[in-house]
Amino acid sequence: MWLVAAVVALILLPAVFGIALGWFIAAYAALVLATATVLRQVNREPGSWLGRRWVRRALVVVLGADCLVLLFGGVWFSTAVLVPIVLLILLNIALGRATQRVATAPDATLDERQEELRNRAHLVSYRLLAIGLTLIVIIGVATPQTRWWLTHSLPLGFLGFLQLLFGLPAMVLAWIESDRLAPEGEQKVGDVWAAASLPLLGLTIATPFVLSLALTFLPVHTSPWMGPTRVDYLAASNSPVHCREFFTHASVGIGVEAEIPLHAWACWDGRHAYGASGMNRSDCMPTQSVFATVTTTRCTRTTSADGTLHFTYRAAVRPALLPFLVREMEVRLVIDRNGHVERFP
Amino acid sequence: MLAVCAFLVSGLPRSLHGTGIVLVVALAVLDLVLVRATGGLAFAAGSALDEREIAVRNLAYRRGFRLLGAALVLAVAIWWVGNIVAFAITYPGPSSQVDSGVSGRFVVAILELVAMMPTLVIAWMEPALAVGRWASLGPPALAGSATVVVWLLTLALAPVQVASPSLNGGAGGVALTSRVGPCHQFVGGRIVGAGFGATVGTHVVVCWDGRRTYVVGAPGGSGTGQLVSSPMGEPTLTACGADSSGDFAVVSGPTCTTRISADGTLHYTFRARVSPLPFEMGAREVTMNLVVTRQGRVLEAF
Repeated sequence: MWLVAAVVALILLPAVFGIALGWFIAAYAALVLATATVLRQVNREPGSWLGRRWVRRALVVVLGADCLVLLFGGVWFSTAVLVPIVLLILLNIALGRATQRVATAPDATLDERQEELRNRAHLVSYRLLAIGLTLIVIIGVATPQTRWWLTHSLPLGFLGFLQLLFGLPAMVLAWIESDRLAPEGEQKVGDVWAAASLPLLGLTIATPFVLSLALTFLPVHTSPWMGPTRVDYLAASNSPVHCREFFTHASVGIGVEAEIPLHAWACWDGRHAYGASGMNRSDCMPTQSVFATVTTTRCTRTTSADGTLHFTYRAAVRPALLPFLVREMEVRLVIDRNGHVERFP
Repeated sequence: MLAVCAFLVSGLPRSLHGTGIVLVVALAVLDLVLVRATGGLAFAAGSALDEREIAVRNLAYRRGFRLLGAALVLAVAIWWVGNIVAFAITYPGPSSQVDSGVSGRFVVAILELVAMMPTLVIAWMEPALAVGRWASLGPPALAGSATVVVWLLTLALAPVQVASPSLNGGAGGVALTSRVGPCHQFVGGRIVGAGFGATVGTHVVVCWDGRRTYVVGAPGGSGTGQLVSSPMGEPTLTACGADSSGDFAVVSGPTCTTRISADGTLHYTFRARVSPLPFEMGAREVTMNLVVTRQGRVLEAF
């Protein structure tokens, strides 16, 4: 029950803020809660899908990958860290069901076969842990570069290390145990929870990654708005200057998303057009990003020889979970010396 | 054995001044005694054991795994508390500005726990085991000697590594100013023996005024060469060899010489010797050079 409480606490807190930050976080939190609830209801008896070796081995592989993401993924500096942490909890719940918690059960509740299996799992786990710690020691003394990496990644990887420390016997047990089959002659009773749990778990794991991938090919959505032209007079020359307000957002992605704004005033006097405000380097800042990092790659304002103003704000968006993917977004404003808008956004 | 490991991970005192090898040798001898006392059960192959011995070994690994986890978490806690105590003891004195990474004594303690935890569990829970005695002190002496030989070879053959400035060790490597011109503090260090020897380090403040470059902030004008006094005069800004420490070797004779060439370029040289044995036997010399022109351009850094 404490695991469920931890899941609930971890997802309710961001879900409260998720309503303010984006509907996706709230929806994903609900999905996680539903998955955890269903997993807890899955039949423990032999014959359920969690008793199959390939399912248990897949769980172990995904758990290991999750630990690697926590250690090497660099997600700790963004909201994306919630995803591997939540997955860690969910997968541990599933692993506990899959192994019937043999790894931590009291001696009196186990039969001879289970006790032998548990002891063998601990023996293998100890040797794996010893190899891992020795590797860490070698990394720590080998070269200045590896030493620097270890010193700076140790705090970040502590959660992954704790997972291995307390979960490794269960992971080994799940890997080495053979299929648990239902006794012969026993009628197989349809288990609704079991039927729902596998798709739900797969959906929970896959959703952040699918949405991260979708960021790269979903179209960029813009919502431009132009205000009416306003006429001012320069005190020095008493000549009229026309100005106009421009406002837009360029956003991309669903759930894993980013948005860059443009809010500027442009003016023209028949000889040249120029930016009155909102077109400086300090104005090129993203307004929002969810599970993604936004980097400004171009923010330029130029006036060509014919007096046309060109303003370009371009940004690169990378999903936090798949940082090797990148999507470019651009907002442009081109206005000639007579106020004719040639391009926006 | 657990007490020795706790002492090693605590990081207190900050430097063992070369006596750490004594503790390592003691641990090696204790390891051998324990392995002998338990018949090497924790390391024996399953085919050589009977059913009862296999059950004992498996139980030792099961409990040992949990105890190792608890010991690692406790080791980190002890290390953290030790750091706070060490800082409290030395404050407001300067702390080392050189980052020597994970200390060798911490590594020794962790490896000791990893290697010996199942044996410790067996030795603790098993009744008196019928194990033959040694005919002589040969095996323990061999274990101790082997440890010393490996340590000496590591110190002699391991390449000297660069130690970067510590992130929390003070103003290492940042620009400063004075009434006479811009200044910069340089921090440099070297690790001898891959963490199982000693770390030598120093920090120096260098200023320049377009005509010449000079060292400032040396306490009481110490160090050889042409040290020029300055309005700054902070004693902790320049300290020859102040960032040195050694758990398994002794750092001796740190000297800092300064030479200002005719064109105003500063040549600052740091030298020290790292000795694993008394009377500087088997010592390795470490040299670091810093060359800064009168315009502040660094031609050679630590």
